[in-house]
Amino acid sequence: MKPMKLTHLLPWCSKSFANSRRVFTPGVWLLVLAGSMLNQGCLQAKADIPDMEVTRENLAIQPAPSTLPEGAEGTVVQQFKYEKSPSPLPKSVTSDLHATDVTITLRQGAKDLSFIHAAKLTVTKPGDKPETVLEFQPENHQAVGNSITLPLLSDSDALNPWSVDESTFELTVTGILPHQAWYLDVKLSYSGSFSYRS
Amino acid sequence: MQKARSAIATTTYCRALSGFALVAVVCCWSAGSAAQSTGPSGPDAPKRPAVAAFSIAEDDSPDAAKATLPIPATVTREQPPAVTPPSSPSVLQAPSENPTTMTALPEVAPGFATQFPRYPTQVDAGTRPMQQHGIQPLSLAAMLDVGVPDGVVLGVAYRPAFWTRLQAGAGTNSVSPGMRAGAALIPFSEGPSLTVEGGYYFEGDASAIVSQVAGHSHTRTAQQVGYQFVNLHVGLDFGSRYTTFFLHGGMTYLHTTLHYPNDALGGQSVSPSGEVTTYTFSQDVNVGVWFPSFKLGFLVYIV
Repeated sequence: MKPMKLTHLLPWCSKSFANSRRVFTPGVWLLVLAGSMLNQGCLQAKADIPDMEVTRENLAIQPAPSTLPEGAEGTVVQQFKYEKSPSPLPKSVTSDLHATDVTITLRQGAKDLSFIHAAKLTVTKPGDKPETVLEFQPENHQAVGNSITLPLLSDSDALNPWSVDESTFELTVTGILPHQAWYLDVKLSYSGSFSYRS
Repeated sequence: MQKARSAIATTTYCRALSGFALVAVVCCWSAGSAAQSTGPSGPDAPKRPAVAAFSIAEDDSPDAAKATLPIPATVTREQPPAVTPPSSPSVLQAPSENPTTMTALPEVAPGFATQFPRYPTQVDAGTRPMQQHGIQPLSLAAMLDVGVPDGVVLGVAYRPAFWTRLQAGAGTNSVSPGMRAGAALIPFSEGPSLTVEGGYYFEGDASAIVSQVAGHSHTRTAQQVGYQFVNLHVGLDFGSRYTTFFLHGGMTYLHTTLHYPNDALGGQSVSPSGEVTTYTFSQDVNVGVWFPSFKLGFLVYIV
C-alpha cells in the first residue's frame, strides 16, 4: 500500500480540488437557493387531532316554575359559555377543528333524562344570528338513560373554541321538568388539526 | 502605557502573521510535492496526465508492455515528440469484434508503453472519472456527520458508481439511539449533491431538554419522545481520494406522536364564577413538521 500523503487527506491542497471549481459553482448556487428558501420561512407543522372533547361541566338548569302544575309540560332555556382552553394556542397556530357530536349527561337533580320531550341547542357568534346545531325529539317509548349522544346538525365555526373569541350556547329543554335544579355536562366532540406556518 | 500596549499588539499581530505564513508554506509545500510526485518536471519533460505516476508506479506486470488503448486519438495527442517511435509509426489495429478497443502492436518502440499511464482495459462506467486519470477509486468508507434532526451518526458509505453513494448508520440525538439510511446523487463525482435519507429515532426521555427549553416538562409526554424523518438535501461534497467532506442543507419532514396529550394540551378552565370547562384528548396526537435542516460531516474511504 502506498504511503498516504497530506494531499490525500486535505483536499484543498490537491490539484483536483482546484480544478473542480467548475462543479462547485452550481453547488454554491444550490446552497444559496436553499438558504434563501430557509429565509422565506419554510417551517410548517400540522398536528392531527383524532378526538378531542370540550366539556362544560355541571351546568345548572333552572327548575320548573312553581306555578307549573305537577306533571305538566314546560320549557326552560339556559344560556352558557365554554371557558377558554388552559393551553391557549399562539396566534400563528390555526385550528381546523370540526365538531362532530354532542353528548348531554345528567349529573344530578333527576332520575334520568326520560322527562325530556324535546331539546334544542343553538350557538351564537358575537354579532351573528343563532344557529341551531342540535335538535332532539325522542320517539315514543324510546329508552333514554342518563346520557344522550347526538350528531350535530351543522358544523359551525362558532363551535370551535379556538377560532371564536366567545360563543354563547343556549339550551332549550321541553318536557315534564323537575321542580328542583338539575345539572348537566354538555360535551362537544371534535376532530381535525392544528397547523402552524412561519 | 500606550506604547506598551501598542508593542504587545504588534507582537501578537506578528506572531499571528508568522503562524499563518507557516501554515501557508506547509500547504504550498504539500501541494507542490503532490504535483512533483505526478512525474518529472521541467521544460523537456513529456506532457502527460498529472496523475500518471499512480499508474506507472504500480505498473510492474508483464502486461504493461502491451498497452491496451481505449481511444487511439488519445495516444497521438499525448505522445511526446521526444519519444516518438523511430521509423515505423505505431500501428493500431482494431479487433473486428470490438471496434472500440484497439491494441498496440509490437512495432511500438520498446518501453513506449511505460511512458503512458496504464489505461483501464475495460472502461467501467461506474468509476470512469478517476480511472481516466489512472486512479483506482475507493468505494467503501466510514462516515461521521452531525446535524439536525440527525444528531450524531456514525456509519458506512458505499459508492457503487462515481455519481452515487449509498449510506447507512446509527447514531444518537442525545435522547435516544436511532438509525438512518439513504442515497446521495453526486453527478460530477464531487461538488453539488442531492441526498435523500430516512431515519428513525427510538423513544426516549426528553424531560431534561423540554424543561430547559420550555421551563417546565410535561412529565409523561416528554418521557416518550421519538420520531421518524426524511431528509431532502442539496449540498456540496468535496474531497480527495481518501476523504470527502460534505455540507448538506434542505428540508426535513419529521413525524412524531405525542403520547399522553392531556398532560401537554389538556386541562381545565375555571371561570370567575366557578364554571368549569374541561379539554381532553382521548387519543395520541400525530404531529408532522416540515422544517429546514442541515448536516455536515466527512467520509474516509478505506477500501
